[in-house]
Amino acid sequence: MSRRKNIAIRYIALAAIAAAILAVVPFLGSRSVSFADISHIFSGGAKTVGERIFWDIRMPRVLLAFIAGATLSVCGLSFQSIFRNPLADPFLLGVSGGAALGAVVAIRFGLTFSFLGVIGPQLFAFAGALATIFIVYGIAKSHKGFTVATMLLTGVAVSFFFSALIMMVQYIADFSNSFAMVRWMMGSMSIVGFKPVIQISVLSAAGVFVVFLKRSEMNLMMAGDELAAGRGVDVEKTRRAIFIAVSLATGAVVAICGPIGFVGLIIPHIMRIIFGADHFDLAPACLIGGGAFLVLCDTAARLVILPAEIPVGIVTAMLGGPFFIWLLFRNPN
Amino acid sequence: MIEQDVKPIYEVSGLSYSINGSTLLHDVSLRVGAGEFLAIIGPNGAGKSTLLRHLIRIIRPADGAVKLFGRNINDFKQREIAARVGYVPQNGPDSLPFTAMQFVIMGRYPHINPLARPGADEEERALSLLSKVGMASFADRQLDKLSGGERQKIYIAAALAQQPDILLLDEPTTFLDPKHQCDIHDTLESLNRESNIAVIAVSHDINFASRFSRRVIAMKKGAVVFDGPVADVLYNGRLESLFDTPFDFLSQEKSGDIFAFPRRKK
Repeated sequence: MSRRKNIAIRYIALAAIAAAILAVVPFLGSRSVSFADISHIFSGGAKTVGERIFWDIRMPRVLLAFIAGATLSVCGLSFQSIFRNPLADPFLLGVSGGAALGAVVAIRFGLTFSFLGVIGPQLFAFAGALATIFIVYGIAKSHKGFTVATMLLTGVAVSFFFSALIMMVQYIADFSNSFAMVRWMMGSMSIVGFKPVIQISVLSAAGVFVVFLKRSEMNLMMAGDELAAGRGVDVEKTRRAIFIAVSLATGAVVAICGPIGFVGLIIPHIMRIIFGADHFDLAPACLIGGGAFLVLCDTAARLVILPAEIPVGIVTAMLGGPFFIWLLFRNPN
Repeated sequence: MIEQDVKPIYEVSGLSYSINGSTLLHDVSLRVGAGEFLAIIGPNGAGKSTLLRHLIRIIRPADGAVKLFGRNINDFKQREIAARVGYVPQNGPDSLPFTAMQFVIMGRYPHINPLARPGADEEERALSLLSKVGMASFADRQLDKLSGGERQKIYIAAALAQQPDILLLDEPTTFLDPKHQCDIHDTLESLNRESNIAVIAVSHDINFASRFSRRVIAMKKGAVVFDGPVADVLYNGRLESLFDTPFDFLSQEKSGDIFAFPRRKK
């Protein structure tokens, strides 16, 4: 039908933009890399400096940003759908804060083991995220007349509490460790080599995969729990599955890149405007759009104060703060 | 097979439900057979909607039992219930960003693979359901932008997408204008007569009940106070004690239908 065709065209446009961003961005930076630099690899011989920068630093970083952005965006979408509110973002609900606390505790106590590509801080971040979801959701639900506003406020309170705990862990850490933690808390994409890319991918992919399995259920839950149950959705089971998936994915991202906010708020909103509400269209669009968006933000973070760079979390927050306020006024409820 | 056919759709026995110290259902028992058209009437807060929610296990029956086709409803998967019982809730959600077509296709959930995108055959099916309720031309319209009556018809089409043996409706025509009320009444009647879909409609509109249903259940304060043919409920003593207000009656000469009106105090 014509609607389908319309969506297909939008998909092609989105994919083309994402591909263009991914193709161009690795060449930009404090030291420019030419195409000759990287084509050198195919002809053999010793690695040039440009080549090293491209393959060991820029490419892993771009991939990391893409995966992190895609994951955070899909997580945001799933929360907004099951809570029926465009402001329900894991970052704003304190889930990223819980994940950060878990990761900080693991790092502080040296629990940095690695197993099947998954590292200790990610598992602790997962536990922190999951605990936060159940705390925030539990408190908001036990409050008379559950609303997402109650949940957001609970999330804010829990976030403050966690950041106090994180500061305490940082304070008692030694100086160099402490600086690394502060830097990481601002959201960081500076990695070397592909190892962190693999580390972020395993659990992120698992979480995103589960969210993708629940597209029909999320469609129906947008119409309300009662109607979804009437159509045959096991609402509680779906909610639990999404909670676990989002915790896994958020934990995986936060442990590597730090708590990066607002991607999960901005991108699903824009994609809903472009692709409509059907999650079969929306979820893949958020994946691609979120990835491309964070790559762009990270490029901006690398370029604005050359030759230095700023943390990517600052860029997303500077875009996300005003966006949140705009959303708030657009949705008076 | 034959045994299956004679089994009633619903058997409710001794169902009670209370929350926060207030009793919403008290020892409710009833049976609903195939092809019935049943209205549940009663004043606000009588427990009608609460009963309906038990019938599709939005609330899980705990005190007392609900059997669906002879089997305890708590032993069903939610999807299995939805494959046999279509549900039209009282107020749809205030914001529904789907088109009518998308929303009706979403009603297919109990019958299709939830992992796959519904195919073109589902679009055709949805379109024919929309035309059944007279809304085919609204297929690509956004639900948020439709009137209450138009939306209600689409809700019914979406419930029919569940291919139900029985349709549960909560106040299907409250707040609608007369034309849409009529359309929906006609739709329900023809679904019941022609497709043999049983209907349970919760309503506080006695005249809806009297015109369309063959059987009425009256509830008050969580209990069933009357269960029988429509004609037996339509006299003043019964209605006055049910609604705590006296009624006057009018009968239409041609059809013999009787209409009840609350009597003015002055």
